[in-house]
Amino acid sequence: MQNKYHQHITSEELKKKENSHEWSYQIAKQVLNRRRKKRKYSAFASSAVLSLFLGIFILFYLNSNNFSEESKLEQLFSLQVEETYKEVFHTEKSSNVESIFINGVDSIIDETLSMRD
Amino acid sequence: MNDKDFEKIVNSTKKIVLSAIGKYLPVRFFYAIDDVAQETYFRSYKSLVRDQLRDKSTLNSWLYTIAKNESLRMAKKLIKEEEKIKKAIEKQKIENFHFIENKDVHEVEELKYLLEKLPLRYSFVLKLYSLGLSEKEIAQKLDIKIGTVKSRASRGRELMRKYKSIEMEPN
Repeated sequence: MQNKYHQHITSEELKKKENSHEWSYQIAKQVLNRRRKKRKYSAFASSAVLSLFLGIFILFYLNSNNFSEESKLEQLFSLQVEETYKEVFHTEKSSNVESIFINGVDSIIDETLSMRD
Repeated sequence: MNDKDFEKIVNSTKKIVLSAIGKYLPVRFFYAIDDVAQETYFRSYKSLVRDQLRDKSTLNSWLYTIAKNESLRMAKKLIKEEEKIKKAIEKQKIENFHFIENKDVHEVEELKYLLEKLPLRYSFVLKLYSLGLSEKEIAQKLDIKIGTVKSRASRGRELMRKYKSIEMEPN
């Protein structure tokens, strides 16, 4: 019984839609609107993904740059320390002043050997 | 491509699309004809625009197949929706309709009869209305938007009027 109504309405609706220009216009309009929305959405999504990648890249670049700066600084620092140490050591050695610095491993070995004798 | 150009394409191909929908969409889902047609044209847009000059019979059979698949897909989706509504009906146990209090017995019986003939998505919303539930409550129960509740209620009433006119038509 329910089928009778539905059959009736379906055939009536199909006939009406087949002869209606308004229906074609509405369908065309809705499809094009959906396509425009989809295009907008995909453009937005791709630009979001692109900016995310760009952001990650920039962060990575800045970070790695920081690291290299740090290591350069460290190198420079240790070089300076070495230079200063050498300078002090050299001055002490040439002026024969007793130093807090150990004069060399050789002298320690000599001292130890003499103590054994 | 503007609306007018695409409208021409729809106009020249709609017969084949509607015939596929008529054949493969179960009649109780007549309310989804527009949705299926829209989905068919949406999916075939690119090819329709690009292949306007393709052999017409090939184009028609291709479009027919898309419309057929879309009809079957929609039927599957609506069957699932029906099952969900049936479960909600079982929970609700609707027996009496309060919205017919002031009508005479004859009218009440007719309304009940027509209501039972409606597709579930419309009849259940109207039945819940009759129980005095608000649109918000119905929306929560069926997990749909308030706007959908309103449109289903109005479409349901419209269909009941249509059924009545069919009933009055001579056979």
